[in-house]
Amino acid sequence: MLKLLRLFILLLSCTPQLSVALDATNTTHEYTLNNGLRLFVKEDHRAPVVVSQVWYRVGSSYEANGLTGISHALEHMMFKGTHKYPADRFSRIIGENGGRLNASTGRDYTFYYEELASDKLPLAFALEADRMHNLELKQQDFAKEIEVVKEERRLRTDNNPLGKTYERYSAAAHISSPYHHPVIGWMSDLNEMTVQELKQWYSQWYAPNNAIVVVAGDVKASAVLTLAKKYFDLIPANKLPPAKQFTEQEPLGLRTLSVHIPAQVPWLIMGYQVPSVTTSAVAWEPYALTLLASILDLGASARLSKHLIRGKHIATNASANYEPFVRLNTLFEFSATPAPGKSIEQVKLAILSEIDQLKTTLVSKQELERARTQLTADKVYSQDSITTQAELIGYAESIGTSWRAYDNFLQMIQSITPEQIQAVAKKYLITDRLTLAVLEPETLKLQEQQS
Amino acid sequence: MIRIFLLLLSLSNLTYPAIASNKLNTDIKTWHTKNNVPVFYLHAAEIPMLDIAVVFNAGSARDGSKFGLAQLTNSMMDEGTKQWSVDEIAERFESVGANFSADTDRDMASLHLRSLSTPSKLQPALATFADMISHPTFPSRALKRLQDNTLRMIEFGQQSSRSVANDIIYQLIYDNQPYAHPVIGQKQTVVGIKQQDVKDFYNRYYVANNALIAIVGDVKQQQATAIANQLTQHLASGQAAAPLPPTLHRSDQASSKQLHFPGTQTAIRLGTLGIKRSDNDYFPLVVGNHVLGGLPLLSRLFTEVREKRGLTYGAYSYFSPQLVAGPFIITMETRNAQVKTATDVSKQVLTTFVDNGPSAKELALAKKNIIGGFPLKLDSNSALLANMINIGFYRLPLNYLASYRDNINQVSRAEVKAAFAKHINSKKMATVTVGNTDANQ
Repeated sequence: MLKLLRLFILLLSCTPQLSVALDATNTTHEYTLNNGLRLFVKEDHRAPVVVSQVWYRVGSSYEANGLTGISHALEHMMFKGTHKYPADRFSRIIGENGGRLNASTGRDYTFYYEELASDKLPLAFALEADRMHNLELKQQDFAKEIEVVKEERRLRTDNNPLGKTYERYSAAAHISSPYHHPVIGWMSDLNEMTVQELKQWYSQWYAPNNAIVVVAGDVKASAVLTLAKKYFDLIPANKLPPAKQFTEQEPLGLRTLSVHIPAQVPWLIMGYQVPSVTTSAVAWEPYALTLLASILDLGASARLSKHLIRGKHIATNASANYEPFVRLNTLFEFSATPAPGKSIEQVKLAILSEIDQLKTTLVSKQELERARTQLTADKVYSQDSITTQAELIGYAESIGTSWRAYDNFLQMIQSITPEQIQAVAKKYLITDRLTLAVLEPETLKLQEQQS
Repeated sequence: MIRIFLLLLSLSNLTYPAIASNKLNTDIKTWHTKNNVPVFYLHAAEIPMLDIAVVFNAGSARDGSKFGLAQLTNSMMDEGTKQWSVDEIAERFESVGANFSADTDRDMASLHLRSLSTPSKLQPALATFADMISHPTFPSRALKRLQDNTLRMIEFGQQSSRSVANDIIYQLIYDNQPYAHPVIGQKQTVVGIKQQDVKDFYNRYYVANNALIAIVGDVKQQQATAIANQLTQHLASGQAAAPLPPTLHRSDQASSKQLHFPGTQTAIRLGTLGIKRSDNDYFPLVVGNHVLGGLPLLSRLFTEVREKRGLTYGAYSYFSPQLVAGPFIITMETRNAQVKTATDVSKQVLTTFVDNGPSAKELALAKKNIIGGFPLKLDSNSALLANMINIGFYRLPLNYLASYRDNINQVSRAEVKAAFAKHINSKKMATVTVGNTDANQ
């Protein structure tokens, strides 16, 4: 019940020639209830199904040291019952009605979803509205569930060499930013967490004026609004804590770290501090960074695959990733695994050489056009899933921008020039902004000593 | 083809509502190409896109002693043709926004193309796809590189206790039978594979009589017919793959293996032989497994191991029905100190279930969940394509989807109990633990 890295950039953008098929404004409806709850409805009548998502604007980036992981722990406890629907009644009712349900916590959001036959939407609303303000949070449930959360942490991070390395890298790359700490929380904080703290977190953040309801599927928007009023209208609004502004510290130079753990494969992860769509002082820069990432790593014809994996055969995988739709400053990331017989140092130099190339030589028209075409096509393909359609609205709204940013995104992508791509490479992909981490497997060291 | 809404009228004891189910897109058309490749087609015009899968009976069960050969062959299909280099193939696809992928499992080797349906985008993608299917060159330099990639994938698996445990449970269930080894192979077998092995494997299995095509999306049937012919016209006729030998229980099927592995958590797997896809007990076992360990949050395993005791993040059981008997596996991970408790509880849950079957209430919940959730299995082109491949490859009846809910609805408690008693001997489960079980004792 936790999602971390998302290849968000693959799902945005579009070109004019397909704009009729892609025009989301025809079917996305937006409403605000009296208590501040915001509702978005995306009609899609291909199949008699619906997805209902309730997003809360709270996640690990809202947490302070000592309380890390509390948003995610609360997400687990949301399945433990209310007075009206105690214990597993919620899951049982959705299950009996053929639904799927789950939840996801990220840095900027916590969201809950049900996927159902479209005539079952009232059930999802009744249950979600109830647990928006009536959660019981019993000590005996918490005592067991926090152990489940720790097992989840062991599974995803502690016993996963890449997960462990990424956690350390991310903590080094983000200095004062709350992106510093892991979504699932440090184990020491999980060990100290109390149900009283969860109650406080719940009453502080779970309120209609901090919630976004997104519905996509075979429904009528006006009918969904009526339903939403019926179930959510009476929940009182909360006084939310004032939003704090975070300004990340200036990076002041290269940061490197090594992670020594039992593993088989060495791994390189590098990140340059960059703005997001919400923090960028220059509006076009995140879009130029998005195209930069696409030219490097969108598909088998992109530069990292063509040059590093195939051409030089120096890496068995190599990727570039930039996610513009986040709340705070973020990282433009590279990660790679050296091919057998190649070193981390060789891979690092090859990536740096690709970056230099971007700074000194303009990207070709064909490359830029291909990247735009792929982003356009991926936007078309994203319509195949109602869940994806709903999530795109939820991500954008939960970070404080609008789902309409996708339309803007499209226009911006079309307007970006090779010169602008070169400009962001020169401005941001510089050593002073870089954090570089290497997973150095302990077992591999032994092999190296033998050879 | 019977449409769902017609079927609804014929059923008396409906546990699902007569919602607008005629909108479910299950009207699968089928025919053969000029050279006899079966085609499965669904029209879905709402999004201007098209998904095509070309599937061969050429999974890792066909590796022989060269473990990893099927996967290597399939992953080399886009590495070059007589006409185009690997770079050109990638550029030809991506300059029109098409996505290509190749997937291999124990039964199937699949090639998947997703393209925009606009003719100016679709035609170049199809031309590239057709050339790749029929004229791959398997360059030796590419083979070396993909062997290296595979070695790295194997190493990534070796640093995960879960992946190691998965490999061992298959080993314990299948011994030296065709499903025993991992799809990606083993280090020593992968490095030994030669270019000629790959060419031979392709020539034997990537033939018209061993293929099927599934097409879903924004093309009319006439156009789908032309596309299927275009993609297969240069395939050799060849021979269908021989039937796999029936799987046998090992004589020591209750064997167990404990592997030391660093870390704070231990992967636990219990397993035995399950069923082949064509088994008559398929539906009772699907429903029964939903009660036992298939339904998240509510199944017996999930309730006992996670909800009541907080021992794990996930606890599941599943059948993986295949051409011949696939496995039945119970899977979970727990902190090292709790391995014995988690294993004992799981075994107890399994034994009780096999001995007594589900309660009436549990059976009702499972059936309601599966039947009510049926539309979710068909709500996207991706989902439809997966269903069509399943129907085509395992030769399920063409009304499989239309009759699915009826088949689930008819399952009785007695059938579930009998099916589990017949297929699962809870006293003879192979057991694997991979973890640092000494650490916390």
